[in-house]
Amino acid sequence: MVLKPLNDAFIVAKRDLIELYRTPLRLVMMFIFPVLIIMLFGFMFPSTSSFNGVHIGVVNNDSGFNLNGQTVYLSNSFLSIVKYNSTITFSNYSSFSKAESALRSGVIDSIIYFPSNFTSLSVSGKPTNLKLVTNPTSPTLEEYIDTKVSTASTVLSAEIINGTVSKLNSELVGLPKINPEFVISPVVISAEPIISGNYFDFIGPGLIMLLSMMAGLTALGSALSREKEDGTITAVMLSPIRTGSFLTGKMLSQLIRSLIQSAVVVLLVILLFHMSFNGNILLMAAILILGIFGFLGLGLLVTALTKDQETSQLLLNLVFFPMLFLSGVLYPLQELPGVIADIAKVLPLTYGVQAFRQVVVFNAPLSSVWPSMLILFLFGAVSLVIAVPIFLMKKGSGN
Amino acid sequence: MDEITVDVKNLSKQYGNFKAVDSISFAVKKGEIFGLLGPNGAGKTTLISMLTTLIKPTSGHASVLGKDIIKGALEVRKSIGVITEKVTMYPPLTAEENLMFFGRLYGIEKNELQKRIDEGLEEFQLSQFKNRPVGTFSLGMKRRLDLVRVLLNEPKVFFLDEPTVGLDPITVSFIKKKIRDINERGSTIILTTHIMQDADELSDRVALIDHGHLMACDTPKNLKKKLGKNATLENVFIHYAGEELRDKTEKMSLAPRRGM
Repeated sequence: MVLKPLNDAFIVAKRDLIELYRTPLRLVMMFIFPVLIIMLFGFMFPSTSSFNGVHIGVVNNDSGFNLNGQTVYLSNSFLSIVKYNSTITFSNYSSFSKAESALRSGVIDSIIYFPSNFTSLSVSGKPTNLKLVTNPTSPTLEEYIDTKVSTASTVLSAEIINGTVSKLNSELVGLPKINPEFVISPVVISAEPIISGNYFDFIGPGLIMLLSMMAGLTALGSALSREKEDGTITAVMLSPIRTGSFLTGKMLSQLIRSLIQSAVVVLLVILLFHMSFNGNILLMAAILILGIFGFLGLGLLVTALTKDQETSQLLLNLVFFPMLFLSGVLYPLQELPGVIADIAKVLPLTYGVQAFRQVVVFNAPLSSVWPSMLILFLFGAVSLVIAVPIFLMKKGSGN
Repeated sequence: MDEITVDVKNLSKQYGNFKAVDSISFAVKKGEIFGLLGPNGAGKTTLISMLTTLIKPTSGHASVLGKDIIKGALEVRKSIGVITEKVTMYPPLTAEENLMFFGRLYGIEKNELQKRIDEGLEEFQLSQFKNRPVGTFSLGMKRRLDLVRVLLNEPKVFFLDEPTVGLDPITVSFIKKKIRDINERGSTIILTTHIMQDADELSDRVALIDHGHLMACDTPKNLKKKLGKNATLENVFIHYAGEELRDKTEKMSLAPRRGM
C-alpha cells in the first residue's frame, strides 16, 4: 500500500489529539500561557500612550505681581496649563531641599521650582525662568513630564506674542499686517498616520508570531520526551511504521494544536484590544504555519540532545529569550544597537515577525513577504534535515 | 529437520570499546519457548533490541521468519510481538483507544480490529475496563493489556522481556498460563527472565549469556544434568556467571569514564 506511510502519520496525529482532549490540564495550559502573555503585554502597553498617577512636587516662591490692587500669580496659570487634560497631581513643598528628598525617596516623579520673580519679570517684558528637576532613570516618564512643561511654556509664549503682535499691528500703518500665528509657528506640520493604529498593532502580530514559534519549539520536544519517558515510543517503533511517518504525524498534530491556539489568541486580541487584521486570511495562516514549521527542527534537535524534559526545557529557554528580545517583537529593529541589530538579522523569528506584521497591519501582498517566508521555510527544512538523523541515532543508542 | 524461526549468526553490538553483544550465534526452532538468561548487563536486552529491529547490529546477521532484521525490518516488525520490561501504553488514553491505535499501525482493517480487541479484552478479563484510561490501571492490568496488544496482529514470534516482573502471584500464574496457551497455538516464544523457576518451567531450551558471550545453550534438563543429580537451573546460572555481584549497570559501562 503506497498510502500506508501517510495513513500512519494520520493515525499518530489523531492519537495525539485524542490524548490532548483526554488531558484537560494540558488543554487548559495550552491556552493559559498565550492568553497570559497577550493580556500582560496588551495591558502593559495600552493603546493610548498616557501615564497615570504622575505626581509632581511644586516649590512655589512666586511673589506675584500687584495689578490694580490685586496680586496675580502667573505660576498658578502655568501649573493649570501643565495639568490640562491629564491626571497629573501636584504637591506643594515649602523648600527645594524638602522637595528634593521627596523625589529621591520616590514620593514624587519630578520637581517644578518657581523663583520669587517668576510673575514680576514676565509682566515687565523680560524672560522669566523656572527649574524642572526630573528623574533620568525613568526615561519615558521624564520625557512625558518634559513635554507637558514645554507645552505649557509654548502656550504661554503664544499668548504673549498674540498680545504683542496685535499691539504692533495697530501701530503699523500702510504695511501688510502680521498674522500672530506666523510668529508662533511659521511652518505648520500636518502629520498623519498611514493607518489608524497603536502600539498594540505593533506588538500584537509580533506576540502571535512569538507564540507560534514557541509552539513549534516545544511541540516535538515535549511530545517526544513524554513518549521517551513513558516508553511508548519503543512500542510504536516496534510496530511496522516508518520513523518518518511517526515524526510527520507528531508534527501534524502539533501544527493543528498550534493553529487552534493561534486562533484563540487572534480572537482574544480582536475582542479585548480591538486589533485589526487587515491582511489576507490565507496568507496570515500560511505565515503562522511556517512560523511553527520553522522551529520544529530546532525543537527536535534539543530533544535529541537532551536526556529528559527538564534539561530540554532549560535549553529551550536559552533559545526563547534572545528571540523574544532581539527579533523585533516588542520594539522596532531600528532601536537595536549595531552588533545586536546584526544578531537580529540572523534570527529566523525576525523574518517571521516582519512578514506577519506587514500582512496583518498593512495588508501586504505575497509578492512582498515571500522572501521572509522562504527564509522561515528554509530554516525549518535545514534544521529538520540536521535534527532527524541525530534524533534517530540517539534513539537507536538509547536502551 | 526442524524449521528455524530465529536465526542468529555472529551477531555483535559494540558501543565505543564496549562489546555489549560479542559474536553470538544460535537458532530458535519453530514452536519453541526459548529462554534467554544472564546477569544484569549481560547483553540480553541489547540482543533482543537487535532482533526486534530497534537497534542495528555492528556486525553479523540475524533473521526472523527468514526476513533479515536490517533489510526487512518493517516485514519483521509485522510478524513479531514484543513485550518490553516497561509497560508501553499511553496513560491518558483508554484501554480501547490504546489498542485501536496500535492495531491501526499494523494496518488491521477497522471492523476486524474491533473484533480482535473485544476478544482479547475478554480473554484477559479486561472487558469491563475498556473505557478507563490506562493511567488508572494496576501494573498487573497493564501487563495483561500489553499482552492483548501484542496479540492483535497475530504474531508468529513473541519476544517477552521479563513479562512477570513486579506482579502478584495470581497475575504471574495467569500470565504463565497465557504464555503456554500462545505457544500451544503454534507461536515461537523468546523469553528473558531472572526468575530461574519460570525459565525452568516454561522453556524448551535456554541460552545463558554473560559479558556479551553465549556461555551455554541447551535444554534445562541437560544443563542441570551436567552439574549433578540435584542441581537446579539457579546452580547452572551461578556455575556459568559466577557469584561476583554485578554493580556495573549497562548505562554506566556505556558512559565515557572520567578521570581514569
